[in-house]
Amino acid sequence: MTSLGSRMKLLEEAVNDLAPSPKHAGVSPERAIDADKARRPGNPMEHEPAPVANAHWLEPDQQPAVPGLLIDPDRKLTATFGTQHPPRGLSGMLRRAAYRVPDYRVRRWAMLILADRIEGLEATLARSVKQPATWLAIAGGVMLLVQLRRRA
Amino acid sequence: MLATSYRGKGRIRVEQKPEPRIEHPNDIILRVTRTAICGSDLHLLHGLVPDTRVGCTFGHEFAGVVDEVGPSVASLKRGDRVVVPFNVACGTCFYCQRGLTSACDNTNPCSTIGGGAFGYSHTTGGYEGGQAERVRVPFADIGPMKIPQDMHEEDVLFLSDILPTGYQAAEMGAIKPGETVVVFGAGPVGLFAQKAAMLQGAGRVIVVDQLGYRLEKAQAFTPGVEIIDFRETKDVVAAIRRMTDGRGADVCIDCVGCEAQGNFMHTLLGKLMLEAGSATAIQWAIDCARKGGNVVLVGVYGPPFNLVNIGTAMNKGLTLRMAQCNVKRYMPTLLEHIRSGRIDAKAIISHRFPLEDAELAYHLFANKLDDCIKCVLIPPEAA
Repeated sequence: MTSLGSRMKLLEEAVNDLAPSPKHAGVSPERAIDADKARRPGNPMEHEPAPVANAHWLEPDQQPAVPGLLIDPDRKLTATFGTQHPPRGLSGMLRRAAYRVPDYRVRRWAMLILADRIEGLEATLARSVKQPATWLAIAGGVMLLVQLRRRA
Repeated sequence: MLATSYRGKGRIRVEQKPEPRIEHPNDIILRVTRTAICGSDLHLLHGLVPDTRVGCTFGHEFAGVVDEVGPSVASLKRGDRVVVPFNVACGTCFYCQRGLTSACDNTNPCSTIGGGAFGYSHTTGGYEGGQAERVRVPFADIGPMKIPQDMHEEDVLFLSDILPTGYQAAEMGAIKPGETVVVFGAGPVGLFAQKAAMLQGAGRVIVVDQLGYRLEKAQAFTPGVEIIDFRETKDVVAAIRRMTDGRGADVCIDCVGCEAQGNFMHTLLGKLMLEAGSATAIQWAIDCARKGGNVVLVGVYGPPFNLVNIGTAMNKGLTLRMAQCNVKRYMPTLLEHIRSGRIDAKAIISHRFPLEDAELAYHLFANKLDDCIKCVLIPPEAA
């Protein structure tokens, strides 16, 4: 039975064996400047828990709640959140229903995507209603129908 | 104020919207001087991210000048120039204390899958984005970083997202000196991931894309990278294996996400919404990695699921690592790289547009027209 040290040595050799052919192995010091893992800032498992610089609170202040805010059933109101675009219309009803479903259920996301598409249609419809061309087209269509019925 | 406004799947326009206001004591209002369109904004535009509501403003890459400060803001004052990470983070929760600001527990009441982010649907908290003249920035003492006086906003703009994302991707690959790294996607994040892989000691970097101009850019941006145009290669996996003595790459990085091309089945299923977009790039990454290798995912996929060959990953003993970038902790290191000239971040900018022309910029970027790599938008007051 080999010791842990010798097994580690074997492992190291095996890893070295995986290195690419010598024609690709030459790296300039500049090119590999962050090869030393100590220079890399993002290894969470080696990071001692500590507040981010300039945090001067233990628990942050609470942003006031706003009407229409939808909250995930597994969450509570967080310290900050976006306040624009509360749900409305048919898409809003669907969003409210979706937010009653936990986000690990597929139907939650399916309902939200459906709500997104419906809201897109609602927006198109709302915009069309404001366009004079829409009303002209409707009026023209009605007149055409009336004419056709008279001829019939 | 002028801002982009989502109008439904595939439609965006610029319109007048109400000015943002201070809503929390640690908010600032930022006058945006530079903002960019990210590849992940296209996923929003194309309706792949659930709970993207009509009227919302996109934009999570921006820099600007502090215009108004909330009563508890201690580290910034009016007139300071800052670049803002795309994560909204409180700085003191369980996750922030561990450097995982992308998972902040105090900024997203809408889902449990991540923390808050600017301009990225209600799934990430419903915050308005920075493709606007002004934007509300919560937890201003935590995220924003002051821009050194001798540097322009464009020098540091990409510290907000894509540069740290590319760097973190390479870092999650745990690259050992001399190893072979394959980067899928030669878009902005891919360009920074390949650069970071070189800086972290990769012996060989292979970039896979289908757009010739992007592959040329990859070679110009990081001399020494090898390229594969997958339109001209029958089988990407076989090509990578041939290039690596039949073994596969040590590290594979997916910098594409849910709109990948190259596999009819994934493209079709993605279009039909039977999976959350096309999972071609991550499947290739799993297939191209050597046994015991590392696969990294930083491309964005929407919920709920994608069809990937997870059994292959298990049998090959792959290590899968993935995350939204924890931008804040990378800013100092990457600022040093920019200042020293090792990374010329603004060299990836291919187009600059007035904010008013954002619709055109999206069209150009989404359709890869005019050799577009990265679009920066300039609000009227900053022009």
